[in-house]
Amino acid sequence: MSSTSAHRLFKLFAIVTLLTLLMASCAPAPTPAPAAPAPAKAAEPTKAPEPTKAPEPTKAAEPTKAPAPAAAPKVLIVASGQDISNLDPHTGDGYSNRAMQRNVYDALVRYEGNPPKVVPNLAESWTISADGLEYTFKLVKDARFHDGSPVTAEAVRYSFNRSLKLKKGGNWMFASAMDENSVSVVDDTTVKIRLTKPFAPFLSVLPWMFIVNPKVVEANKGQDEGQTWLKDHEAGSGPFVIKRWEPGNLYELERFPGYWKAGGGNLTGAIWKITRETSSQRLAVQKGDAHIAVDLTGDDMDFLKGSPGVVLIEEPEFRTFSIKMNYQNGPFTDIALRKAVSYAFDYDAMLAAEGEGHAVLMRGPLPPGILGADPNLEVPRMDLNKAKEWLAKSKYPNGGVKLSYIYVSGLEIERKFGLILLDSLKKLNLDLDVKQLVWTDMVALTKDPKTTPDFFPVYQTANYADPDNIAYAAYHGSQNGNWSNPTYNNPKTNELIERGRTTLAEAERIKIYGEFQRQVVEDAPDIFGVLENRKLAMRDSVLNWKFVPIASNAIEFFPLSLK
Amino acid sequence: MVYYLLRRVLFIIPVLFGLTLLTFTISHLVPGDPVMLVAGPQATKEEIAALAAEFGVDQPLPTQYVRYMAGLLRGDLGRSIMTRRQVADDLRLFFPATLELVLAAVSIAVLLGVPLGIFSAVARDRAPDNLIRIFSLGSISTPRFFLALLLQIVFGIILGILPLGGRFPTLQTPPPTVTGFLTLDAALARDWGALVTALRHLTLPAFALSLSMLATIIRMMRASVLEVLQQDYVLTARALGLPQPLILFKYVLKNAFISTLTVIGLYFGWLLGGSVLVETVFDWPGIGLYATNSIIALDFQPIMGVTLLIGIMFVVTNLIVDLLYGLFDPRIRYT
Repeated sequence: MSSTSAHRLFKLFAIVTLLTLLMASCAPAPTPAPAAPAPAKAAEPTKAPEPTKAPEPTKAAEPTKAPAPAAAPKVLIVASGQDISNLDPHTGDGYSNRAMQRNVYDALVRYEGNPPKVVPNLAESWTISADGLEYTFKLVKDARFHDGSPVTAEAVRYSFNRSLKLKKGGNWMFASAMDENSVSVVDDTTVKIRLTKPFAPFLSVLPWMFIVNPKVVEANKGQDEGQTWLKDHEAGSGPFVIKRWEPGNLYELERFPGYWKAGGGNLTGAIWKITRETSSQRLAVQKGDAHIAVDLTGDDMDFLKGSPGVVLIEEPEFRTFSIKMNYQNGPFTDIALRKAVSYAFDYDAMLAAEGEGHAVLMRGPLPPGILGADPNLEVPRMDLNKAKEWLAKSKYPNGGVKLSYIYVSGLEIERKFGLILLDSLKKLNLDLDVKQLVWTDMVALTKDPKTTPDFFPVYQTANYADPDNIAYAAYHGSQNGNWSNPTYNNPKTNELIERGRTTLAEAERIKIYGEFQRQVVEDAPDIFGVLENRKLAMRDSVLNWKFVPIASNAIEFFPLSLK
Repeated sequence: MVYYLLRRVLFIIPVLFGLTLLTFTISHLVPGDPVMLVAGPQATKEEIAALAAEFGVDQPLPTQYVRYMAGLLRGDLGRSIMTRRQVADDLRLFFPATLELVLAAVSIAVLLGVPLGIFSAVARDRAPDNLIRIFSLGSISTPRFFLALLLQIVFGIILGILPLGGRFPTLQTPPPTVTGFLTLDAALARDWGALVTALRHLTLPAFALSLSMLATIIRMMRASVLEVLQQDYVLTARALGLPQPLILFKYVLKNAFISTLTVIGLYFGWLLGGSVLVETVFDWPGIGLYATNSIIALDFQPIMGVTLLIGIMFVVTNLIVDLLYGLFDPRIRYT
């Protein structure tokens, strides 16, 4: 190529690109926002639900009427930072996967209200044997999968057995009380589940056990029980079906016109839009590009206060935060030192770091509002005299120890908590090394007490509305080596947790969990931290939304409407 | 020339082999257990072992490496532990988005940077030069994510003339995928409305990504042009009474552009791997974010896939840049 032609080429390239940019900047205004801004409503607290009656049979299901053809599409857009990595209801976990699963699949029961109650869904009624071992579910007669085949007792059996076989996802919630012979078919609409041992929270884990269409799964079984296929396909009976699936970008569902259940809102579809930065989620709701943002921080909520057309929702959810101490290795094997630190910690500063009104302090190991949580439990609060008394009783009466605190890289609030801890410990002449690590590396550290840091901050989200969830995952010795409870192990606590999950009478369970909480506080394995509010922002065009403190960010689309 | 080209292409093989070895070793030396993370906190030892066996990470490291390389020779880039998807499918999905963004950013940087650099040099120490220098200094010093947020607020919220993020409006269906470049796909489908929409979505992230490169090019061009302007042949041309634009664009630009070309080559590869912050803020579903998520989870097959792809792009871009040197300076010979 000669220099002249190179010069020409260069000029041509310049002209084309400039024209392109000019076109871009002169183009018309963006597509109208899905929701027209309207005057702001003050955030209304969720009404307390009425006491749940014993489950009543659901009325005969009528297919939902499809929205009138002439009506404009009502598509809800949810901005979330978390991708949908796995739609398979028996292997995919995490709130974003759960959100999609609960909208394309149905479970036997579902959660409703605050505090959450288990209510009928595919199962219109059920009975429980006196020994708590046998559950008999009567299914809704008219429930249909998306291919038109009926949802039968056999489909329920198939789904449980698939989950038990794969041992992934939410299987851990019920696997300890079931085996492959537990589920039996009585007739087409009656299914019996016989547990291998009593498991009191059994009903409360069932909202996450979704029923798949055996015919569809078998047809796409492949070499891995359909795991690869179900990752981005569905075999459900839920109110929505997949329309668009663009990993890393957006996931669109559209309403299934033949859904078996009557009622519901007016949505014709819903989009799970990946919006990674919380500030971008905030702007999207503010501008009306999204109807709901699910991952907002306290700062985002403060920023959005007073924005026209935006409703802010802050509710305490069953998600605890505590700073765990290494119970099996290093200075914290000494209970007196653990107690000293528990009394030296500045809890008010922790609450202030969360921002005003965005969190409450925990009282012991269980989140307030969950069955058995004791609102009057005596827990350590900052008291330097007591802290020094305990320090004097410890092996380190003059302090002089350097401790380690490792937090999740990029999680600013955990860094702040580390600095508050550093400041609190100085008053006991204790030093603190605050370090950050990526979550994978932190998980690896907790495999062994020798590599577990002295302080290990952990968020623990409840998957089901029962104290067993937090108690078992975060305080049972069998979980040692896992991040949820790296080192704490007390046979007495273990025994209480075991009794709690196998005792059926609610009053008895409340007593057991009361004792459990006192025991854990006595052992002081954690600095009991905060219960952060669930922070959601939504356009005021979203109607019929009700807060449920279990996975409230995994939005159920069926009841919702758009103005 | 042909011999040179062949030799450079052959050199790519050991470079990529070294890259795989290095990336594999580093991603396995870092402590962390992706299997345990994916299996979840309540997973039993059996479940963790089953998952490890499924992805072959229970094998000794040399075996894992040999298996990976054998797969690579068959064109199999492996499967992600986190998403269970084929890495090749993910790369096909995410890479065009990043490439489109980077190409747009590079175009903006070159098309604005070169003229501004020349202008700055010509107007040396006068008001326009000082303004351009302040702009370029500010652009280099401003963190990219901050600038991206600022652009979002100004153009997306306050002025409301450009979209906040994404590649295409959420409620609209994009043109059928042919190349993966939305702008090109829209043009191929003769859907001019979609082309304009795609360009509007591209404008803010491309500008945010281009800014530090733009600033570097301005400064580089300014320095080079100033240097060339002092050369004897320029003085001669001036003495002969040649018009200033002719001197600048025919004689000065070509000689001054060589160093800028080096910057463009280096930046291109760097932007491919470093677009993550802009992709995050603008929800651009590209490879930067995919790579970051994989690194955080120590999901080594996607890490390897992304590294290899960016490595190839880097080497190829530099080869092209080396060939372009000859175009701008005929004294350079390839043997």
